[in-house]
Amino acid sequence: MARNRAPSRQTVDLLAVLLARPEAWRHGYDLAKAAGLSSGTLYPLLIRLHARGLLEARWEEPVQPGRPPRHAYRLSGAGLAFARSVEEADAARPLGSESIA
Amino acid sequence: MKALRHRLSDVVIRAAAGRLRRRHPEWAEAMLNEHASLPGQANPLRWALGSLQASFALEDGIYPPILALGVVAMALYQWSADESLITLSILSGLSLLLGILRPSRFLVSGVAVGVVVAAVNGFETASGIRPGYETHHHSWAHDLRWLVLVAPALLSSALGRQVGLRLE
Repeated sequence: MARNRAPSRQTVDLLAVLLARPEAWRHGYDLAKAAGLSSGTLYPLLIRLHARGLLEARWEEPVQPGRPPRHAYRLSGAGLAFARSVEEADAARPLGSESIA
Repeated sequence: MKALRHRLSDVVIRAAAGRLRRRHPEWAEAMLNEHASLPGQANPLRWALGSLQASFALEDGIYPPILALGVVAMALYQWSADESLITLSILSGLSLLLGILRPSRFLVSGVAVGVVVAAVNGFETASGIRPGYETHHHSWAHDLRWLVLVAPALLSSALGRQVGLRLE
């Protein structure tokens, strides 16, 4: 059964980072640093967003020779709409009512 | 020190990717390659440990703590009461639940829960510490006999697996 619950603080932060430059393809480390997340939090979020069709992922050839291709991410069309709705809901939320999840 | 940290981080990130590869092969590669592409100021060991944590969150979720809690609860119950039909019911119910929760680990669940009674009895024999209701010293043969409970535990976890697979 599908569950409808408010996204966690970490999800909100990651969506805000992705929404700041929606056209840009960004790498995992860059996203983790910008959203203040550890890789342990980042990857489950990315995988779940991708599984829900909210995130696009693609392989990018390395800039430096000898490095492997990297996965890059950006919001899909549905992800953009979702991120905007989350941002609006977050802005409308009274101070001090943040979820701890 | 830096070289050692890099080598250790390589081992950890390979373990993380290995855990993810079965269900999320593309993400396992993404994780490995991101680690190999980290900029100089990043801490590769911290990144790798985080990735390992992510692999546990994605692959096992709540299963390991529930399994641990179940085994501890089973051991405490066995310590507090003698072998009985209630023991068998708890053991079967717990194995069934674990089988539903993680169908792919039904063997681990069944064996882990099934050996608890024999392990607690073995501890009594080895240590000489016995619960209040125990009036006499058991033999090792008596303790090992309780390994027979692995069978109903495995049966229950296998049944749970069937239920869990239908729910997935």
